[in-house]
Amino acid sequence: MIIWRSTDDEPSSPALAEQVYNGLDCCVTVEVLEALLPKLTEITGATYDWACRLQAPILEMELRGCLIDKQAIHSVSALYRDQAERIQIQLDQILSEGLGIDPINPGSWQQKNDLLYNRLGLPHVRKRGKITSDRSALEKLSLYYHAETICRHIILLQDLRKKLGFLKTPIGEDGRMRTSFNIGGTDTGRLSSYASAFYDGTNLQNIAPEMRRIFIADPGMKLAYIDLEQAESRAVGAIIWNLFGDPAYLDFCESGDLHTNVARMTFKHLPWTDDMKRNKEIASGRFYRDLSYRDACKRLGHGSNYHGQPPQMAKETRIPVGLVTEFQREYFATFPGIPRWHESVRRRLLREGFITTFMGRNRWFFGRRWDNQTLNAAIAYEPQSAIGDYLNRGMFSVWERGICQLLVQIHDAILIQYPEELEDEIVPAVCKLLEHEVPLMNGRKLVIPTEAATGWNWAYKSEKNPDGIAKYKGTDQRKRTPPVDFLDQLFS
Amino acid sequence: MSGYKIALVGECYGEEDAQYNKSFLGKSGAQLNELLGDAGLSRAECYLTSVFKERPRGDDPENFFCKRTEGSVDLSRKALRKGLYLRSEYTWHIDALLDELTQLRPNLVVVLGSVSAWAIMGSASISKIRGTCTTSDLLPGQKLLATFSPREVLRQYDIRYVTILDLQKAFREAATPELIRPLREIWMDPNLEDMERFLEEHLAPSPLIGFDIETAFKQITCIGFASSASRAIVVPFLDYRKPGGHYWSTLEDELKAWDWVRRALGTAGEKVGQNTLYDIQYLWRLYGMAPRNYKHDTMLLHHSLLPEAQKSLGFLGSVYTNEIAWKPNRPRGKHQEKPEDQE
Repeated sequence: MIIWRSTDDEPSSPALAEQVYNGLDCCVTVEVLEALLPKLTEITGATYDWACRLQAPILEMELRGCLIDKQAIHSVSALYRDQAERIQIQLDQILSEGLGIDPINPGSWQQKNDLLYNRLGLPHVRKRGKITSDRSALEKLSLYYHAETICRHIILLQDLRKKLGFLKTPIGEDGRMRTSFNIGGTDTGRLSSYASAFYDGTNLQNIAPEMRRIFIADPGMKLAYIDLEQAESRAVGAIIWNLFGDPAYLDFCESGDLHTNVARMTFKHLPWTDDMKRNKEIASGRFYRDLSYRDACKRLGHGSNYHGQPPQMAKETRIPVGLVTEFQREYFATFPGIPRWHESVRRRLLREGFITTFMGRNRWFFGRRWDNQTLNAAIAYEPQSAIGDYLNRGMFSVWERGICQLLVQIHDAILIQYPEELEDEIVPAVCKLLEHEVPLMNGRKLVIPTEAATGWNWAYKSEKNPDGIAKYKGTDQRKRTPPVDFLDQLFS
Repeated sequence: MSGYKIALVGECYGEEDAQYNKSFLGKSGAQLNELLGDAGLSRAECYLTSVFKERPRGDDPENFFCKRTEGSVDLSRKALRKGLYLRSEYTWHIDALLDELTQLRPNLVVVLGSVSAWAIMGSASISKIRGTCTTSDLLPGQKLLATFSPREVLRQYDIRYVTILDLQKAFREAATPELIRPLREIWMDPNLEDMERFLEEHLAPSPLIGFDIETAFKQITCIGFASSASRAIVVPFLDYRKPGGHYWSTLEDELKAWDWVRRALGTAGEKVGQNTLYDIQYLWRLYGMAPRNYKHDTMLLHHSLLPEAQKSLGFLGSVYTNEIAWKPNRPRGKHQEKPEDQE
């Protein structure tokens, strides 16, 4: 045995250097713990306590993973490959027959740049000073009439290639896809997700809806995807209630269809009635292009809650800036608590430099406190962080009760599986555990309702996907489609 | 001897600095004053100087450097970054600075910014080397501590808090000229008897045990246990020095070693790790083991205190301990190649 002391030189042998490295990691971990523990306050101590408790359900999700339907991967991949081939042929035809240009490989940025900026003569779009043809540049350039079709084709091809790339994600030998969740992965306290510790799997928190088809329940089990409804809006309402005792926005969130109600308050000239169903029809009327009043309230309302400025929101939603400005004027007149809250965050940021959420999580802001970027981050912090904590606490209760298996957590939703014959017991029970009460000021309580969808794979039910998840309305009479033998599939 | 305990070395002059031939007078100087104030230091206590005592073109110190094809360069010094060498006409600045600091001999030289770090420490990777005391062959015997420069802080404001923490550490370190590393003892290449002795004498009575695994090829290559901040044992399993890469010469011995790991994880003391879920996944999935009385994770703890701050162990070690920068010393290359019979 060799005893290395910190007064000695570093060992020259890589094997021994690795051992010194590992030993120092262990010693420093102990020393760091001893330095940090006394710094915990009542608030940060509670946050740490929750972070520690969350490790158990998260470890369980990481170890379990989710079963993958390999046949679905095969068929979805084939479908995407066909689509990609067809679109590539169309693009080649447009370029060669329409413009007399050689076909390009949309995966090559040099060829894309050459096509867009040299051949088509479009104005340069730059990112950090460099000419770019990334997705946002293509979206900008597609506004030029003569480039629209080409840009749209390239965007479609890139999206398809990305999806095909995801379908090639390595999965475990047991046919399950796993992910790693990091409790400390974001500033807000929401979980982040990335490839598993064993280098397979991937981030499962941003899987496109149609790709979710490949995630299936284990035999005899059924999936439930349960999400919190209008969670961040309700959190904004709760913040405004806590700060100013102003119930307007939270009442609206709790009164039914938030976006229709906001449309009713904002677009006063429309022929509103007392009938909610009729009002929803009116709110679904056209506001601008293919955007309904309701959609506009959803998108513009969300942006306005987070201190979005009309020019930026107009750019993102493609609604003229004048309409956005008018919307905001009406919206803030209807809910004056929202701009008051923004102002209160600005003052707290300048005065204290930190924000504590109503769920009891503290965050210091290291950016320039007077900077708009820092202010926007501080405004978004409390609702986003509070909802992350709200869901995690609900998820912990579900895990603690042990009535189902947790599979994935997606910011404001969870995916679980359970024995299908127990569905009518388990799904309502899980929803109830997720809908826990958070005390607000003056005796009011925040409860965020949930919506569950159940099925045997994670994509939404459709004609082509009868086993997909469908809204759970107290019972689901469907039966799982029996698996088709591989050879039968091949020759059918 | 100048009487200064601490010297701050900036990168180059700004407009006002060049006008009065003094370091840290302009915007950077004002930011430095604020940083020093927030760290509990005063400017008067510090000797101030710069690597380049002139103002660069475009106020960008990288303009003192160029590619080999663009002019005469000083190849006796390392590149600032790939392909970017010091222009020959500026080489005297470095010699003058090293002479200046050699004569001054403060207890601590605080190296501010990547260009200063390149000039004094031979590495411009400021975010990797910042925060830990070290020495350099370029300035033998001199205790050094690198951190971000006020110019870098003005450009990227969210690194300001780290810079303040580093300056606070600099203030403590400037008390003595010696580089005092925390005393630690690491038992390496142990046999089964050594392991039993460590378990009995150190791990079993310890109320707090740090543990950590290293992995490669989806296997645990070694596992370490610290019975305190000053003593640890490392049990290797993969070792390229040995035939087939097996540290243990027989399967029986390896099984005994794993049994020892199980018992070490099962001791009564509270267990602490950094990003421990990663370690636990390996231990559980590969060997069905889990630590008993697992209580703390330093990554989660720091995230609860300062969610916006970095959480890596290297960073935490640089801020909360006096350990030197040990993370860059991890061997790479052949050591991490798969031994032949394990293909």
